[in-house]
Amino acid sequence: MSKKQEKEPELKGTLYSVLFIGTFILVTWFMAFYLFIDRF
Amino acid sequence: MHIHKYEKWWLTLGATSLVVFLIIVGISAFHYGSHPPSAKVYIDPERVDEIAPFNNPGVHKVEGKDWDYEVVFVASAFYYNPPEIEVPFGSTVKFIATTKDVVHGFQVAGTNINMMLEPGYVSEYVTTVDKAGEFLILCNEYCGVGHSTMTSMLKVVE
Repeated sequence: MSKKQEKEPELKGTLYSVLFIGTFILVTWFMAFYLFIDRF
Repeated sequence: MHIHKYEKWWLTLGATSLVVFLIIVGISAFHYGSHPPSAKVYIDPERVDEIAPFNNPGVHKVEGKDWDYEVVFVASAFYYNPPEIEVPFGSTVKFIATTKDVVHGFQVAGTNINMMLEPGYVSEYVTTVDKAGEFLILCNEYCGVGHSTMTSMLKVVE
């Protein structure tokens, strides 16, 4: 039975990539939004 | 269904940021009333010069409205009338513009004022000018050979 149990895939690198892209999108979104708020 | 622990993290992160973006955009639209330049007003593009307020382009002080000044612009190939305007620092200004011929742009560089002027439509934008200085008004819709020289100037004076 236990032999059939699949190993969890190693997704640490994927997680870092997702967090990197996610942070970039959040930061640039708020930078653009701040620019919009700051201008008349 | 089995979802990996990290997958749950980034799904949550992605969904949360989407919700945050939508809430911020929703608040600015429904609470602060920000919206694209209006194109709800129609005008006969052949008779722009005869129809108020475009028969008198320029800066007009108004009373009893939500804004202090109305700035009327008529765009045509390849210039804006008036070629230069001056408004006092801190005043609330309504920009009203249209075109007599083809599609023109109306962008005030370095500000959020950026409208498309389409024949037959009146574009409007209300804002409070809270930065002093000179701001270049330029056409950002290709309108013909003189497009690159089509400019005006907004002066916000203290």
